[in-house]
Amino acid sequence: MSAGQDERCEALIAQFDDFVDGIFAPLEAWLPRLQQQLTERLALGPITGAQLTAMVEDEAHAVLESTDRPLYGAGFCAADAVVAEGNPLAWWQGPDRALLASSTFGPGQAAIDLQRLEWYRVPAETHERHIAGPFVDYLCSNEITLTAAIPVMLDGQFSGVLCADVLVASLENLLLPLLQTLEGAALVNSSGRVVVSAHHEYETGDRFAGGFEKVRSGRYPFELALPAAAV
Amino acid sequence: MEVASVAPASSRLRTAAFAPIGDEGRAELVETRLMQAISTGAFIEGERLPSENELSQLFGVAVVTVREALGTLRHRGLIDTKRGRGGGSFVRSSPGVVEEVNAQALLAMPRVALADLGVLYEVIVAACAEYACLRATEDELDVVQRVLVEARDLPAGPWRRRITDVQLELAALSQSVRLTSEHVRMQTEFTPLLALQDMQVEQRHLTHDSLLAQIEATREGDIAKTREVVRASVRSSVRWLGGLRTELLGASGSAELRATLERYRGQAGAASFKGEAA
Repeated sequence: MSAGQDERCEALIAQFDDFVDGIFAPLEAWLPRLQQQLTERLALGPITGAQLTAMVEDEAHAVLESTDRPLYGAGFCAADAVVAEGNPLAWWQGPDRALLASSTFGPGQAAIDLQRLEWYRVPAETHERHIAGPFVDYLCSNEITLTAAIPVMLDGQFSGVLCADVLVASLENLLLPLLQTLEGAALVNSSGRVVVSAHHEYETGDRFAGGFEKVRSGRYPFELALPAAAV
Repeated sequence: MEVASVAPASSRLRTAAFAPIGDEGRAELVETRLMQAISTGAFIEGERLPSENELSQLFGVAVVTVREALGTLRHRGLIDTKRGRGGGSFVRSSPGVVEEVNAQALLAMPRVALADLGVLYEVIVAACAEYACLRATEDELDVVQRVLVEARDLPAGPWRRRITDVQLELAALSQSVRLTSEHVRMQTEFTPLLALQDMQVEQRHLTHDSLLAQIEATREGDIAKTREVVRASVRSSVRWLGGLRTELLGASGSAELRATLERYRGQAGAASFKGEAA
């Protein structure tokens, strides 16, 4: 790899890491306040979806307003033990900052199977923060989405996830100018799925085959894939 | 020659652009949507619908419009309304009500339209499946397979809801927003008919097994095999529905229609029925 190319790779990874840092930062800041609120409230017993929505709304909107990242949505999704009845999702999305309708998920019972969804399942299992996607978010945004998720632990118990959504389209705007200077490069996730591509044969959602040189992000499970010939 | 081949296409597009929008009232639209939600199994028997206020917000219509639509659904015997605390509108739990509505929809659909719906559904599902072969990961397929396997012996209502989830999830593994949206549209239209099969446990198991085979073939990345599994499954469902439709055509009045459905239910093997009751 030429020195110039090397530098551009590092710059691109740094650009991506910085972007993701900026998504997690408001969630990290919110976490202790939410933990305290939940701990106090749950001492009185489990809450309803409507109570959760009321508790979380201002902070979620503040996250969406404050950050300079192009966030598409933000909110908290509660584990079963926290919300006894109603919508476990206190999550706002889109230009109108609309609350995800509980009826999407069936009222009364959580028809939505949270364990099925990567942004919930992985933090629930690992107790580590995670970035899910890119995936087709057909339940909510109906766009190709990345969702950053932080597990919310209360007394060592997993109690839900704090999340923020970013559309791949908005990440593309940021990364593509530099990415295009690296012939045939693409940003891929840990399963080799393309997030943003400058390779003529690969598009977002495709999976990279072997034969590529990879440069890992130091902070997140994403890497830059470069055709071996260009290395 | 080129002009001749272009002209019909553009006039077809114009016809589509200026097709009548229809003069269905808003209450009828709300009623249609709620009917759809119930007949696709998005709300199952005994389940509470969102409140009048929530429905009015979701649909963006006046509460009085929602009330009118709910009134019609109540009159048709699809929902019950309870007053007071814990009240609301509930999908009626008398078994067979939703099935009868779906059977009426099947009856109203000409055979040629049913076959054509089957063709489009098959093509959309197969296209999603092809892209899932290229793009899905082992982990994602594991999750879908687990949901499917755990649902196998559920009663018909919850089972159908799970199956719809599995089918949507498989479509989304194509990583294509547009294909997934088409799939949702087709599934909303076709599920009320597909769900008629659910009265026979054998049919449920056929659907289960072909979804399992679809997941396996996707795992192998075998596009031809995956498409073949999808095609065979959709065609067999359409054939089954065609057979039921023929029988229903012979019934006059809703009492005979119910009797025909009852007979269809009775055709399931005795052994599997014991299993289902358990």
